[in-house]
Order: sequence, then structure tokens, then C-alpha cells
Amino acid sequence: MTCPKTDSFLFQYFTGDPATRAKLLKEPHLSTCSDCSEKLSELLASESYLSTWEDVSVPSWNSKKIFDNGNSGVPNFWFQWIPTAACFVMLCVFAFNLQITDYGTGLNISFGKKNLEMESFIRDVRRVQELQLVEFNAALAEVELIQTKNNARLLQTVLEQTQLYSAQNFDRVVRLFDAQRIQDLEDMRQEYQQLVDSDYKTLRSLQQLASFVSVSNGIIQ
Amino acid sequence: MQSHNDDKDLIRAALAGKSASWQKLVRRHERRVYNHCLRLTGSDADALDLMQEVFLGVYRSLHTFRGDSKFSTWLFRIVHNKSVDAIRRRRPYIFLENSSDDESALEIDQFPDEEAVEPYAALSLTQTNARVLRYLDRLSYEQRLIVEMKVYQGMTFEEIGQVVRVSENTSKTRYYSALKKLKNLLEASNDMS
Repeated sequence: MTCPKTDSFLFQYFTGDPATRAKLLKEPHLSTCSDCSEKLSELLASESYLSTWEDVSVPSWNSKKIFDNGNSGVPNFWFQWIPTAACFVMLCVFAFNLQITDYGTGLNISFGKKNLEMESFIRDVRRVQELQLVEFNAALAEVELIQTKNNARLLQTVLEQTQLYSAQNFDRVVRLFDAQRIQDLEDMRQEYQQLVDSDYKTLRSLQQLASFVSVSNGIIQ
Repeated sequence: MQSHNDDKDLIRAALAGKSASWQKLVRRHERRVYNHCLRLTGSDADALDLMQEVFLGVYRSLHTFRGDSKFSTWLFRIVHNKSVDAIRRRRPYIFLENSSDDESALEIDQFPDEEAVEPYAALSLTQTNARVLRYLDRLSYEQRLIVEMKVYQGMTFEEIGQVVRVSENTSKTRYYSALKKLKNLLEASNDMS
């Protein structure tokens, strides 16, 4: 029959320190359980089998590479920062000698001392550019003035023409209205005359009828 | 403890530029490292190459050793890293023959036969060492590493965990399962005597 404690016991034994091992060996269970004691001895034999390895002395090997490097000692902790420090110093030198100049037309990046000749030349160029700008602005203002005068003259002419045409048109309209009014009056007069004529005819007819009636009455009486 | 302090003194002196101290430090640990490399690679030449890489690594990063742990623990962390690098670069016949932790994967045809012994016999190893290597070869790399550090380097499971970067319990489990696997192998071959 297999003991249920065996695996746990063996695990504790082989993963324990020497003191734990010694303590477990004195467990009463071990002396009574053949399963545990048998398996313990088997595993102990396996463990001790590994210990039969006989250490081999080191043959001559190419230790020159290791020890040659070691002639100047093992790299010190601080030595590892040398490349970083060198990079930092170079970065500082670069940063403090870097010139970034704004010349209006763009940025100029240069390294090292200021180039005085270049700066003087650039100043002259800027001065010439400013003078040219002033002259250009003056010429532009003059052109604008001329253009304004021309525009005004053109506008005046247009206005005069427009006014003339407007007056002529007004006279024509007035004349048209007058002719129309006279025509309307004439039409009204003719219609009135027709109406009057028509009324007159009606009256004559009535008179005739009345006279006929009176004549008739006389005859009858 | 004395050895631990001696190591620290030697390291301090080596870092101060004394090449003799550096050489003494290498000489002190080369035997352990060499035998470890030999058990891992199974070959004199490979073991020497690996040992050289280990000591070059130690040389380059000795200034990072803060002395919190024992020098041997720190050294074996480098050994472990270099071994893993070596495995990635090339797969020597001895490495990772069995990569499974599963004990049930053990079958009779996996058992080391006489042909498997032959390469080791040709490596000027003693018969005993060749036999031990034969069985170590049947363990997974993880198991071998734990066995190596526990049995041959006498490290605690806590230290092993630090080196291999696994928990203490994991290293215990691996060690225990390695022992059981080894027991089965030995029983199958009746090589216990």
C-alpha cells in the first residue's frame, strides 16, 4: 500500500536545509513506514549518485585575453561614465557655440565665432532693402494718387452724362404723360357727347310718345 | 564567510586597478566554473570557451557587483546568462536533449545507451564523470541547472531562485522532480551501484 504522506515527506526532505533534513530523519513515521523510508533511500541514492562527479582540474586555457585586459585593472565604476561625460561636454561645447540669428528672411544657424564681415554685409543688404522699400512705397503712393484722380474724373464724366440723359428722359416722360392726358380728355369728351346725344334722342322719343298719347286721348274723348 | 569576505577584498582591489587581485579572483573560481561548464556542455573545448565568456562578462561588469549577495551567486547568474546565450547560438549535442519537465515523458527508448556514452568517453572524462553526464543529459535544461546549483554549487533554493529568476518554490519543485526522474533512470539502468 502506498503511504499518502510519502510525496509530501520526500519533497520536504529534499528541498529542506540540513537542519530540516536532520529533523525529518528523526520523525517517528519514517521508522514505521516502509514506503517512505524505501523511497527516501532511493532518492538519496540518486542524489548521492550525482555527487560522484570528480572535479576536473582546469586545463591550460587562453586566459591571456582576460588577464591582458586586467593589466590596467578591472574597469572602475566611474570609468563607465567617461563616454557619457565626454558626450555631455561635447554637447555643451556645441550648444554654447551655436549661433542662431534671425535675419528677417529666415534663421541662420552657425557654429563657432560670430562672422563680423558677414554680419556687416548682411546689415548693408538690409539697409539697401529698407531704402528700396521706402522708394517703392513712395512710388506706390504716387501711382495710387494718380489713379484716384483719374477715377474721380471718370466718375464725374459719368455722372454728368447720366444727369443729361435723365433730364431728357424726364421731358420725354412729361410729354408722354401730357399727350396721354389730352387723349384721355378727348375720349371722355366724345363719350360724354355720345351720352348726351343718346339722352337727347331718348327725350325726343319721350316727347313724341307724350304728344302721341295726348293726341290719342283727344281723339278718344 | 571568510571566502565571501576574501572575494569582496579581491574585488575591491581589482576595481582599484590591481591586476594581481583580478587574476587571483579568476584563479579562485575558475575550477568551479570550468566544472560547471563541463557538466553543461560535455566538451572540454566548449567548456573552456564558455568559461572564457563568463570571465569576460565578469570582467566587464564587476563594477556592478554591489556585494548584496555572495560573489558566487552573482558569478553564477553570469554563468547562467552566458549558458543561455550559448544555447541560443548553437545547440551542442548535450544541451536540451530533453526539454520536457514531464516525468511521464520518460520512456525506455530515451534511456542512455552505449552509443550515447561514446561522445563523453572520447572527451577524456573519467568513467564516473561520463556516467554522471549521461544522466544529467536526460534532464531538461531547467532541471539540470537547478541540480547543478544545488548539488555542485551548494546554493540554497533562495539563491538559485535569484540566479535563475524563478521563485524559491519553483526551484524546489524542479529539483524534486529532477531527483525523481534521475531515480527512474538509475533504476531502469541498474546503475546505482
